Amino acid sequence: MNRILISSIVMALLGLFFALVLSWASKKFAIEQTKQIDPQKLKQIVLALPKTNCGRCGYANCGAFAKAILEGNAPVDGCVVGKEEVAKKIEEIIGNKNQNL
Amino acid sequence: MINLFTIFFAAAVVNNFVFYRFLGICPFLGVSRRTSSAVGMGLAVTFVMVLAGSITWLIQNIVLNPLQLPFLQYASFILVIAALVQLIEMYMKKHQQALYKTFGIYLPLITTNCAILGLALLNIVKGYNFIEALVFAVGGGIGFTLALVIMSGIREKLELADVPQALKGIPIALIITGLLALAFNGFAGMIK
Repeated sequence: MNRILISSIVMALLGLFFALVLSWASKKFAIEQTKQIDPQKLKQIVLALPKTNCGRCGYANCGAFAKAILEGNAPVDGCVVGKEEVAKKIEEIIGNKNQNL
Repeated sequence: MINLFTIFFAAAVVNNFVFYRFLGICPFLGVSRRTSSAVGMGLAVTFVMVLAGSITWLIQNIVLNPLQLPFLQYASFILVIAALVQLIEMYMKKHQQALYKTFGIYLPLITTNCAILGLALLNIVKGYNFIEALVFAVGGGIGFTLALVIMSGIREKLELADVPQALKGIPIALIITGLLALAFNGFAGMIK
């Protein structure tokens, strides 16, 4: 009986120790899953878009497309109606980070 | 000093974990397609081996032996290895994205890599002291890396070779593993 108790306690303590190490590590090596969206930039992009809400970019409306660009999911030249002009404007707004035309 | 070198050489070449003990065959076959990923995998396994080897040695000799609980060996060793692999996975996800994607499923599978558990248990069975256990772990890891790199080199060439349809992929890899093991058998008996 005593041995069972001791062995359970030993395993529990070992488990606790490694759990603490891992929880520390998960904080230390945490990755940001979603990028923070700058509302100012979102507004600027929406204003730059033609606002036809045609959906030809593959998103429901211009707002969703603008959000997707900032999240890095949509290309800057995704707007079919706006063509290069709009693409260039958007590029200026986002500062061409991690986007390739 | 000579003693340590003997242990290292024995673990790395003579009693190679893959070719002599046939431990860790799963990642050996899974990640030996390209040399770059083979080296990465070998280093990851070496790292886990050294850490796991030293930590399990400490647990065995500081916790389990004084309390006379040697039967907890397996459970606690697996715990150590699993925790270490998790740690490495977190680190890689953050700092080594490319390697993390190359490894895929084989990274969490290091947990069940029997070469690592085998090493931890052999450390205890052979009655090594801490330094010897450490050298044994480094040697084992280097040996594993060596095996992976040799294999990946051959398999890269094999991509261009005209292999019969039935033997393509894993079958020919297993045959080559057997031939390599035969070659490594030339070292057998050099060191007991």
